[in-house]
Amino acid sequence: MLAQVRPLVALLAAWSVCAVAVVLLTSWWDGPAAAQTTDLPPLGGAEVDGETLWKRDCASCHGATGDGSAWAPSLQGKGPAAVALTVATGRMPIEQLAPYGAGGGPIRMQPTGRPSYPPAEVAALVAYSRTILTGPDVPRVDVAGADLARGQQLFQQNCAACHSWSGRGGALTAGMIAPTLMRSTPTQVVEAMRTGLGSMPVFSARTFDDQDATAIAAYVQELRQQEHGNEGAASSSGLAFRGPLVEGAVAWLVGILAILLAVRWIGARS
Amino acid sequence: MDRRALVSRDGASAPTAVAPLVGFAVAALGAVGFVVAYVVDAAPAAYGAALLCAFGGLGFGLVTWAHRLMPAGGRVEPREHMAVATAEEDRALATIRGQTEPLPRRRLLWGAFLAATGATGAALLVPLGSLGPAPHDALRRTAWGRLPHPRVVDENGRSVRPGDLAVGEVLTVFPAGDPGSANAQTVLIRLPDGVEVQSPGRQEWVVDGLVAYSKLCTHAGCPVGLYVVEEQQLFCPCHQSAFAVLAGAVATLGPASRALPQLPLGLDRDGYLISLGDFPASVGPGWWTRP
Amino acid sequence: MIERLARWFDQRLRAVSALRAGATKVFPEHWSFMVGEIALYSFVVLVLTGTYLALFFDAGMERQPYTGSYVPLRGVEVSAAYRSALDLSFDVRAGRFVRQVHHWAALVFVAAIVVHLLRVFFTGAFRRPRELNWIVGVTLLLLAILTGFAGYSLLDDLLSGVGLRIGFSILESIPIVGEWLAFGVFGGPFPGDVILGRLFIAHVFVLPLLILGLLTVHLLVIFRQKHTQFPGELRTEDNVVGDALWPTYAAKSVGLLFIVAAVLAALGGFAQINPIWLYGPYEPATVTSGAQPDWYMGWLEGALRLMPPVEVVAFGYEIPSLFFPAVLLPGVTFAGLYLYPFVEQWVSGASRREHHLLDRPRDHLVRTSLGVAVFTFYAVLLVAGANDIIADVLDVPIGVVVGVLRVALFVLPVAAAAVAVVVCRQLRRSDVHAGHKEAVRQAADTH
Repeated sequence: MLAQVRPLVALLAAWSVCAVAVVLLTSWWDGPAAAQTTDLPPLGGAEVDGETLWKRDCASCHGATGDGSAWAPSLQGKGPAAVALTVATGRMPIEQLAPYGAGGGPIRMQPTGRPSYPPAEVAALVAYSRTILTGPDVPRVDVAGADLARGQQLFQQNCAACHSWSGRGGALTAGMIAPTLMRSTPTQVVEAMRTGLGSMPVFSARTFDDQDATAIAAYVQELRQQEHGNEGAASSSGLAFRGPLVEGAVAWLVGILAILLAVRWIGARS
Repeated sequence: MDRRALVSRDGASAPTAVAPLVGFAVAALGAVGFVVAYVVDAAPAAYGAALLCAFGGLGFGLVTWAHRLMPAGGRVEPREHMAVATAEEDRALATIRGQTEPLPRRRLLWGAFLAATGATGAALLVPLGSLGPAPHDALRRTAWGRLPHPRVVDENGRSVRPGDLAVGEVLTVFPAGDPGSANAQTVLIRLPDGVEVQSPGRQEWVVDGLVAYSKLCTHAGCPVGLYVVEEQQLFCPCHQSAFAVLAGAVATLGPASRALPQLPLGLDRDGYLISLGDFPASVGPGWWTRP
Repeated sequence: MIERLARWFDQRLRAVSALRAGATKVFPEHWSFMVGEIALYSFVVLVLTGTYLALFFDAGMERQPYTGSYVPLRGVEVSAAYRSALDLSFDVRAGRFVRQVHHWAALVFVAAIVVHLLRVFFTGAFRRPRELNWIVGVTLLLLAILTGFAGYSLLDDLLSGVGLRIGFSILESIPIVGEWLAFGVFGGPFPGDVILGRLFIAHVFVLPLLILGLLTVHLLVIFRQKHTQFPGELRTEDNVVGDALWPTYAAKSVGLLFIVAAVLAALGGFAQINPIWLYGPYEPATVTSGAQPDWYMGWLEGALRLMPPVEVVAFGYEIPSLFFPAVLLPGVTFAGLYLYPFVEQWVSGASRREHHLLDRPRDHLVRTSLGVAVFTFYAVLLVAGANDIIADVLDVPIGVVVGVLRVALFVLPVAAAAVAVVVCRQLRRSDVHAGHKEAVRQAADTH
C-alpha cells in the first residue's frame, strides 16, 4: 500500500504546486499590489510654492511656461488636469528617460501607483500650472447616482479596445501598454479622458459630456469593486477578469489533472 | 464466488466496508446540502461544495468498494481475431452474391436505380439555397453609399461637426440612418495641427485635420478599435495588425495585408461633416472575387 | 429483485446469454485506458446540464432593454439570447451554477479527448484492426470542437460575437464558394439576424446527435474488438486480462462518472467562467483587447496571429491570407490525423498482422518523436493565441513576441523530438539494466 501511495503523493504534490502556481500567476498578473492612489485634496494655496516646484522638477524638460523643449512636448492644451493626473499616479516627474522601441520614439511614462509628492505640494503644483497652461482643469467627479448602464456602453464602445473588457489593460504597438484601470480613481479616469495621456486618445467634452465621462468613471469603479470581491453581483472567485486563457489553463491544470489523478487511483498501474 | 479470492489492494486481510460506507454517507449529506443550498438560494459555491460531497462520495464509495471488496483483475478471456480466414470471407460473399446473381437485367436496373437516387438526393439539397441571399455585390458596398452625401453621425445618431473633436481624439462614426452598421463602421481621427496624410490624391478627403478610415480590419473583420496616438497607428486587438494613419492606413504590422479604405469627407452647408461617397475599395477582409 | 426484472426482459427478448457474455466480459484495468471515459462522462454531464439550460435559453436576436437584476446593464438594449443568458446567471435559482458546470464540462470534454488521443497515438492503439475507431474518434474530436464553438457563441456577448465575425471572414476566404458559404450560413451579410438560431439548432440538436451516434459506434467497436492491453504477465495477442465487467469494472467506471461529475461540479461552483455580463452584449463596432477563444480554438487563433500577410492574387481572383491559417491549416491537421494509421502502415511496411498488444512509447522512436514534435507545434500555436497577453504581462513589445513565437514554431518541435528520442533511449537502457538485474536475481534465486 505504501509503495502505491508514494507516487500518488508525488502526483498530488505536483498538482498542488501547479494549482498554486496558477493562482499566484493570475494574482501577480495585476502587478505588485500598489498603494491606492488618492484624489487630490481641495485645491487652494499651500505653504509650498508651486512655482518653485515647477521650476525645479518640470521646467528643465517642459519649459518654464510649459511650452516644451527638445526633451519633452508642450503641455499647452493638456491643462492642469494632465499635471494632476501624471503627478498623482507617479508618472511625473519622470524617473528615467526610457524611450519606446529602439530609441527616438515617445518617452514611456511608468505609473508607480503612488503620488510623486505629498498632497499639499501636488495641489500647489497644480495651482501654479493653472496660471501657465491652457487646457482642461482638474474635473470634479462624483460617481454617486451615475448611470452605470450608460457607463458600460460607453466603456465598451471607447475604452475596452485598449483597456480590455476587464479594465486590466492590454498591449499596444511599439512596446507600449494600455495600463490597468484597477488602481484608478474616478477623477483620474476623467482626467485621462480629457487630456489624452501618452498614446491615449483624447475624449473631449464636446463628444463626451461630463455626464458621459462620470458614467464611464462610475463603471470603472464598478469593475474595481467586482474585482475586489465586495458586493460584486457576479464574482464567486478570483477567476473573473481573466478570460478564456486562464479558464483553459484551469481546465487543464485543475480539472483534467484532478481527474487523471483519480483515474490513476482507480486503475491499475501496470 | 469464493470470498478467499478477495484480497484487498494493500494485501491486508479482512477487507472492510468502512471506506465505501463513509463515502456513501458523505454523498447523502452532500445531497441534503444541495437541496438546502437551493432552498436558501445560495451562491454557486454552495452548490459546488454540496455536489462535490455528493458525487465525490458516490465515486469514492464505488471505487473503494471495487478496490477492497470486489475481485481484482486477473480474469483471462480469450480474444478472437477480427480477420477471418479468407476462405470464410469468400464463402460469405459468394452466398450473398448468389442471392442476386441469377436475376435478369440486374446491372441495368441497379445502375438506373443508383442514377435516379443520386438525382433525387441532389435535388433534395437544392432548398439549402434558401439559407441565404445571393451575395451580389453586398460585400463591395457599404451603407455610406446608400444615400447621396450622408451626414456623419456617432453611435447615437448625432451629427458631427469638425469642432467636436479635439486634437488626438478618435470617434467611431456611421452614415446617418445606419448608426451601428456593421460594415459601415468608421474611425474619425483629428490629426495634430499641420500634420498631413500622405495618401496620394486623397488630401481633399481630409477635412479640417479630420481623417476617416474604415474600422473593419482587412484581415479578419474585427473593429480596429485602438488608436495609438503617439505612433499614429490604428491597431487591431484581434490579431495585432497595425495601420499607419498618416500613410493612408497601410498595413505595417501583423497579418493584415491591405490598407483600411479611406472615407471621403466633406462639409455640408450647415457645417456638419458628411461623406462624399462610399469607400473607394471594399471594406474588411478579402474573398475570391474581390475587385 | 433485479433478477426478476432480468427474467421479465429475457422472457421477451431472449437475451440472457448475451447478458452473461456481457457481464463476464473482461476489460484491461490500466489507468490510462480510462481516459476516454473521462470524455464520455463529461459528455453525460454536458447533455444533462445542457438540457436544463436549453429550457431557459432563448436564441432570439431581437433587442429589448434589459430589466433583470444585474444593475450595470439595466436599460441596455440586448438580444433575447444575451438576456436569457443573463437571466440564467442572475435570476434563475441555481442557474449560474448549472451554466458554469456546463461550460467547464465543455473545456474538460475536449481536453479529455485530446489526452485520450495522445494515449491512443503513443501506444499504437490505432493499428489494425482499430483504424476504424481511430477515424470515428478523430471525427468526435472535430465535432466536439465545433459543438463547443457553437455553444459559447450562442450567448451573443462581445467576446464570442467578435469570434463570429472572424468566423464569417474565414468562410468568406474560401476560394470560389466563400462568399456564398458565408452568406448562406449567416443568412446574409454579417451579422444578420438568423445566426444564433441556427447555431442553437446545431448546438443542441444536430451536433449532439452526431456525437451520440458516433460515440455509440465507438463503444460498440471496442466491445466487438475487445480493448487492447499492455504486454505483461499472462497477456498475449490472443487474450484479454483484466476485470470482469460485472461487478468490478462497472463499479470503477461508474465511480469515475461520479468523480468526473464531482470535479466538474466543484469547478462550476468555485470557479467563475465566461462572465458575459462583464464582456457586454455584442455590438459590431466594438471590440476588446485580450480577446481569445476557448482553449480548443486557441491553436487556430495563434495561427492567425503568427501568419505573415501573404495574399495570393492571380487572374483577377484572390485567396486572402486568412485562408491559409484558418482553413488550410485545420484541413491539413485533420487530414493528417485521419490518414496517420494508414501512412504509418505504409511507411513502416508493417505486415497485415493485427495488434492487440500495445507499444510502449519508448519502443517506437519514430512514432513517439513525431508525435511529440507535432504536439509541440500545436502547443506553440496555442501559446501564440495569447501573444497580446504575454506581451502585456512580460512587458515585451508584441512584435518581439510574434517574432520569437514564429521561430519557436519551427525550432521547438525539432528540439522536443530530440529530447523525446533521448528520453526514450534512456528509458530503454534502464529497462535493459532492470532486465539484467532481474535475470541476475533469478539466477541467484535458483542457486
